[in-house]
Amino acid sequence: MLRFWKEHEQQEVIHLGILHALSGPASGPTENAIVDAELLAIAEINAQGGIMGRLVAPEVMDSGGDPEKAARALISERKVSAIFGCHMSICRKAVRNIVEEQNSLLIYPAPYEGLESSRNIIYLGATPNQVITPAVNWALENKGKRFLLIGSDFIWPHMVNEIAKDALMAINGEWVGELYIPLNSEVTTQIIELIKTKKPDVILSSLVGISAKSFLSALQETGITAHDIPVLMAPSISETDLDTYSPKDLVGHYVAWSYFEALNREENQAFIKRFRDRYGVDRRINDIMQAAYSGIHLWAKAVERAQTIEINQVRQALLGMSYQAPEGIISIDATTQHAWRSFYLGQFTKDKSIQPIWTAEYPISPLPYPTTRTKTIWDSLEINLYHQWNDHWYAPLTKTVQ
Amino acid sequence: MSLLKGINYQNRSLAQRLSFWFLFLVITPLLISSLVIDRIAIESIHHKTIQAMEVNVKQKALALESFAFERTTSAAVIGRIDELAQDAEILQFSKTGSPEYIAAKRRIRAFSDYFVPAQGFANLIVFCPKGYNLFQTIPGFNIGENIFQGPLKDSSLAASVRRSHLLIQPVISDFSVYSGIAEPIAFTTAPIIKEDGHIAGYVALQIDTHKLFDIVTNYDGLGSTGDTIVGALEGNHIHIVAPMRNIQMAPFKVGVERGDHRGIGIQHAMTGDMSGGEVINVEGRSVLASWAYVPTFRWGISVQQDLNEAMHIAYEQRKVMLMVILGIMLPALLTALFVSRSISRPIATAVETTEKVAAGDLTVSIKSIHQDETGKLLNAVGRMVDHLNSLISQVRRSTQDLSITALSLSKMSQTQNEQVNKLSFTSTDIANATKLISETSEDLLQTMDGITEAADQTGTLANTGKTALSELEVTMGILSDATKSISARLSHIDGRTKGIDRMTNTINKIADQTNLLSLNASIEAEKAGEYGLGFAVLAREIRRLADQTAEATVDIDQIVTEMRDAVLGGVVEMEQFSEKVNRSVIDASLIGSQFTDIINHVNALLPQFVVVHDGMRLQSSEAHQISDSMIELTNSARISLEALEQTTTATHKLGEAINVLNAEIAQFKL
Repeated sequence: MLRFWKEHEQQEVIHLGILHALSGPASGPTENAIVDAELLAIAEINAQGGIMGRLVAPEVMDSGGDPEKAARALISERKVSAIFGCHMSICRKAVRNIVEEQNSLLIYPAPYEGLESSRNIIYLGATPNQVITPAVNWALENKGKRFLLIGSDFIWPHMVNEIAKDALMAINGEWVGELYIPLNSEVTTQIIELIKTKKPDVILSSLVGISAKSFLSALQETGITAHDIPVLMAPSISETDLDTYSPKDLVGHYVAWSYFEALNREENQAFIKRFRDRYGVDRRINDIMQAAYSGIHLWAKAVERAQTIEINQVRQALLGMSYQAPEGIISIDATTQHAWRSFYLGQFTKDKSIQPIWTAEYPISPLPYPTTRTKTIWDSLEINLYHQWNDHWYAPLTKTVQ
Repeated sequence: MSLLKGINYQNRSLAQRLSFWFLFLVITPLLISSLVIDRIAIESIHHKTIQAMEVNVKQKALALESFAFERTTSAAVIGRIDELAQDAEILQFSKTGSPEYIAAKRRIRAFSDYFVPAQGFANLIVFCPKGYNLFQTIPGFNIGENIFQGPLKDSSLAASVRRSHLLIQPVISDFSVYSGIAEPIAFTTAPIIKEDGHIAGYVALQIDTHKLFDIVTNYDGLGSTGDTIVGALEGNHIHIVAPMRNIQMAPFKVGVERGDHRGIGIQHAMTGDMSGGEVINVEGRSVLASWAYVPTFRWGISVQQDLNEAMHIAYEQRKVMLMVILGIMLPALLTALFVSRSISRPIATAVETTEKVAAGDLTVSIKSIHQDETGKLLNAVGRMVDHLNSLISQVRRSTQDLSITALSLSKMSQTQNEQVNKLSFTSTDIANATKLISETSEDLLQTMDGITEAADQTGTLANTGKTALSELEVTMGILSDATKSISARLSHIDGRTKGIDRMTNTINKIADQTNLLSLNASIEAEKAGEYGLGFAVLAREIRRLADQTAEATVDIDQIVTEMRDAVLGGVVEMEQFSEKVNRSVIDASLIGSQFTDIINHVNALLPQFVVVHDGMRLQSSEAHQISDSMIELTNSARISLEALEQTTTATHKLGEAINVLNAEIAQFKL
């Protein structure tokens, strides 16, 4: 009876910002797919009557070339209560300034380098300790001690490799080389050379986009198969990229994520069905989409719990909130504002899918600052790179590190 | 409809209906408002309690997470203490019993004695990277030589060491029961990392369970029945991990299967669902609960308060409201009865009275001293009865009078009827008599004609022959006879006219009486008012007829007188003639010579015959006139008779009406 009166009072719509790269260099099939997953979650919430009896209205905006501007527009003009957005760290770092300035909330669904903790950001994506460390550990147990570390030249792969090095150090592994190529470069000859000379047991790759594609096909052309030297990929290539790859380039290699489409869980099957019912049977679903989808539901639960859209209350309600996601239970850690994520190691199959072959069983706690080094050391490492790259989060020219 | 019929609503007394509706009006709002208040109270207590539970469970969950966070941070710090790493390596690589070994052990023990409690732990175990047990402070805990191979290789402790190795970070093990240890315990296991970054081993720090459970067993704000249920999931079975309020030994002894109807709160919690509501708890009781998930321990935690306790105040309120309602019912009932009686009693009296009046008893008398509507009603009814009484009495008297009048009217019309009938007969007689007279006159005329002829013949005869003297004698004889019969007839007529006289007297008398009667009738008609209007008309008609009759009799008298005169004249004439005839007969012998005289006489007689003849004719025509008058009189008498019949009918009807009225009045007792 009391709820009846309350519902009548609040009939206004809740605006929710959706900020992804729909155009420009950072865009790709994944970003559009993330938007689709977020819209599905919003549709499901509205079908249940909305939050506190109010419907959720998605405000989709293209972060395109200027994420800051887009974020500002979302907050001041569209009056969004929160922003789900970004994929690349560059976008996140730009939007961070705005949400901190405007005291809004960004919910970030993609795996990233960690080393960050903003009061105004909920980090859903896996930190390296949740995905790189167990992956490296598994590879060492199963494939060999000698690792080659390669990646695109921007902040994430650098941090991935630092953490990988710490892990290898701890568990008596070794790395035979560390090589970076500029973002979107297709020149992978140097890497191939290094592989041939050093003959590592495992290649840990944090190459992204076109660079990864070029590398894998170049590797395949040299005749090196996954059986010879497996490539263990950090969370870079996912199910939504598989159509652009030739299966023979991928088959047998490994990738680590917090979620795979092929996971045999009841919640996952139901989620995939709902997604495909809405968007089509051929659609692929990846970790970031699933994380974004779960994030919207988490946020909705927090708003319902707090009974308000006021940022601080929602944030407080989000801390400690858990959700039975398709991958397993995702919980928002109260101390770090990061999420507890499951770990899965997957292998690429010849029929354009990724088969989970190993799991860490239950969700791993997030450590944006791995305990292998102190926070100060981590921060200075990051800042040094930033300055090294003329105050950018990516390298301007080819630069290699031996 | 059938319900109304069943309780016979329409026929219930006013007092019953008033009482019922009064009670209804008093009790219904009470009931409705009680129900509404009860509903609102329950909902708001529900809401508030669950809110309180939400806050409580969130606090506890956060406290548990904080505790865990502190333990993992501490463990990480301990794992990074270089001295520990070095000592661990010494224990690993030096010979057991050697001085370095003993020294290292002593140092670790000192380290443990200081750091372990300071960091909130109870005990410490050190493993080498391969899992060999280097050092432990838990008395009676049989780990075996190697955690991965000994009796504990499948234990939570072993799992935590493996996981710590996998993630190269501190890990909290599941709570488990270990042989040799009374309570279930858990560890924070962290890698021991040397300065150069290599792992020198693993340190498992036993978590101070009591401190952890102190968070859980804090029942502040949960009343006297509140409880915190903490569970861990294993397959489909949920173990209770922390002590329960009513079951101290709950850990690992109490559990519930997924899908059981009990422990709904904790089941929800295990799936990461964080909400609240009314559920059946693990012990099977109804509770208001809120639940949360603690990812570090992978625990579900449900904070609850017994529904009965939470709703206690609502239930108390219900009892009070029930008592109030019951308490109000009795005075309400009494008031209802009192009020309804004060209204229905005077009405009942009025009903009784009017029923008596309806039954015909107009002797009842009512008076009321009240000034309200019922008093006015009773007094009005009383006055009405009195008026009715006098009215009906008056009517009764009037009908009695009317009755008498009708009776006399009836008698009068009867008499009149008889008289008119008599008149009818009389006039018929008269008509007959005059007809006779007329006939007689006709006869007379004819006789006269005959006489004239005879006279002529006589003359002729006389003239023709004296031989006819004998014939003349005969003729004289005939003439003599004839004159005798004429005489006789004339006296008859005379006699008859006497009769007519009598009749006209009677008629006159009748006419007088009729007049009187009609006068009387007029008077009575006046008395009878509108009933007598028709009557007055009739009386008038009757009077008129009487007058006409009187006039007719006067005419008759006249005619009769004339007739008589004529008759008398005739008789005289006859006598004279008879004498003469006789003389003639005597003088027959003298005829011869006196024939001429006779003839002369006869001839002289002829004009006289003519006179008589004319006189006869006149009489005849006058007799006709009488006859016609008689016929008119008969007609008048018939009309009179018809009018009388109508009068009779009217008086009969009046009589009937009076009877009816009498019958009606007879019902009343006056």
